[in-house]
Amino acid sequence: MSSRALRWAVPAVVALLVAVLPLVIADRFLIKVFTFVGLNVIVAVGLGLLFGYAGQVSLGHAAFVGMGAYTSAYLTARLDWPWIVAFALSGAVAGLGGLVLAIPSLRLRGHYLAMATLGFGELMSLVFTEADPITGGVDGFTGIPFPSIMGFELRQPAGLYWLVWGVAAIAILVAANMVNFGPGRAMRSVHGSELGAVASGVDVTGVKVRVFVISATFAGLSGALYASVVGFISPSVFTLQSSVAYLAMAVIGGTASLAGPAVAATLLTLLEYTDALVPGLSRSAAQTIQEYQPDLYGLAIILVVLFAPGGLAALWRRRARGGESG
Amino acid sequence: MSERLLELRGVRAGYGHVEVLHGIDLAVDEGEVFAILGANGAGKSTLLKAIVGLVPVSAGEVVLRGATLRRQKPERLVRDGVALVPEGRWLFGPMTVAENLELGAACLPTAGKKQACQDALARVRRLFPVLAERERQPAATLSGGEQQMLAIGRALMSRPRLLLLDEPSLGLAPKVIAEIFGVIDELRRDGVTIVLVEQDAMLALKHADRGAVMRTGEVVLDGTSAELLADDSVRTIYLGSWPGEEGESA
Repeated sequence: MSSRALRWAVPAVVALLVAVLPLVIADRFLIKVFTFVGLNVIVAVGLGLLFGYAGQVSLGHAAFVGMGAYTSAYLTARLDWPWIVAFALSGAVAGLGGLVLAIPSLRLRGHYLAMATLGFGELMSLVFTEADPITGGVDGFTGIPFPSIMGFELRQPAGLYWLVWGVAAIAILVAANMVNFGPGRAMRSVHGSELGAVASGVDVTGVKVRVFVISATFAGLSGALYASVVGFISPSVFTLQSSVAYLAMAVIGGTASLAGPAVAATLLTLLEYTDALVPGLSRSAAQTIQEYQPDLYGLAIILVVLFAPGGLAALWRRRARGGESG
Repeated sequence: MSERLLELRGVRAGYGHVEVLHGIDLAVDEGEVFAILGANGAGKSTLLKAIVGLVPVSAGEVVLRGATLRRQKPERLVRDGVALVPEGRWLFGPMTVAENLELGAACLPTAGKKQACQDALARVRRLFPVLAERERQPAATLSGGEQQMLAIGRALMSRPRLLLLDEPSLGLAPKVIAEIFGVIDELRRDGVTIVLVEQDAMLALKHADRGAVMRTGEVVLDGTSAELLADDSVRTIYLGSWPGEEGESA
């Protein structure tokens, strides 16, 4: 099969497998696990745009997920707004948060930008904890209704799974549309050489701000879905540790790729549920893996930075080139 | 009579608190090639960067077609027809030659962009046939000469009226240098105004109409190429003694 045909065939087969998964898996918990995979894929694809294409590091993406989650929770559970409206507004609120952070921060580069996003994440974490009347504080926000679209409430795991993956598919299509045309080239030029991009007439600040807002919006939408799927949220979900996990998905996934972060998000999420996925794995072994999960993420980032700076995507591209020449 | 395209009036600029340019006065007319000469550290590259806004101008003014540029964003200037080919080229290594060129056209106005982009691409392919052969190749895999051609080609994609070239011959083989300066001559015939920063003074003055000599951030001499070539002090102090007869450098 030609590489051009493969480029279409592989995503089509993956999409088909993802779509039929709830039909072939009877275990409701496993369907939930793959729903969480979908939630993380949405964030990872957005972060893939930001990190993998535009070269910007964010250590605060959990805050955008949290903003989306709390917005959706408050609008649906407290104000009885229609779910779909709350969902759209959740993305908008997170996107606005991204804009507020992006405009002053994107003048910074490298470590300084990472520090600014880290500070933002910690600040939002504090807001989630302290804004008790709205967020429920440390006790969390309970009673979040299931998603309801045109009077049809999605309660079953399969329905929630398809909803999440439907949004993930749209996010991937939007991102693919961006990277395959002018905006993608502009993002990659900013990543490659900011001065070169400026000299070519690319509005570098505009590109950075736009991609930051889009990335934050994706995170917010994922957060809104998370709140509706789980029904309960608390500040402990949207922490620096979560931000590092999201960044790990983008870094391990690799640069200039959407598939890479999506694959990395899948692998790292499944790592959390090894006990459910690996038959016969002892409880203590599964607990050990979960206990050391943040360390594994950190180690994985270090290994990728040292030995495979382009991540999974670069390894795949190298293998594909080797295959073509061989 | 040629119209004035670019004028620098008492321009002071630098990096942070370090002033590199100490009040530069220059005027470049439409359609001419203007060479900026001087030793390393004279401020030549800083001058080009100050023109496009990559280095902030602390005093004085840069005037383009009669309009003073104040805090103009560099990318906006590309839209106004000013393109810089920087020393070091600043290419996008992992991107293909075609993608690098397409990025150069990013700033073209949306109306009629497709046709304008195709026209600009055809011109680049005609000027640098080797780039047409390598369009699907990553820029990082090109030779030094081809990279310089790509950097110039990318700048030409924005259809500039003023092209700023920083050391286009740096580190290149004589044959490639001759090819690039052949393109400079052709662009001049097409009416593109060129400001050329070049270490090889002999080569630059051979292709330029006028020029200026810089020393430690100041213009110490300017005039036509013939005047500068005939000036003994220029030859000995700023340009060094000629390596031989005319044509050797090219």
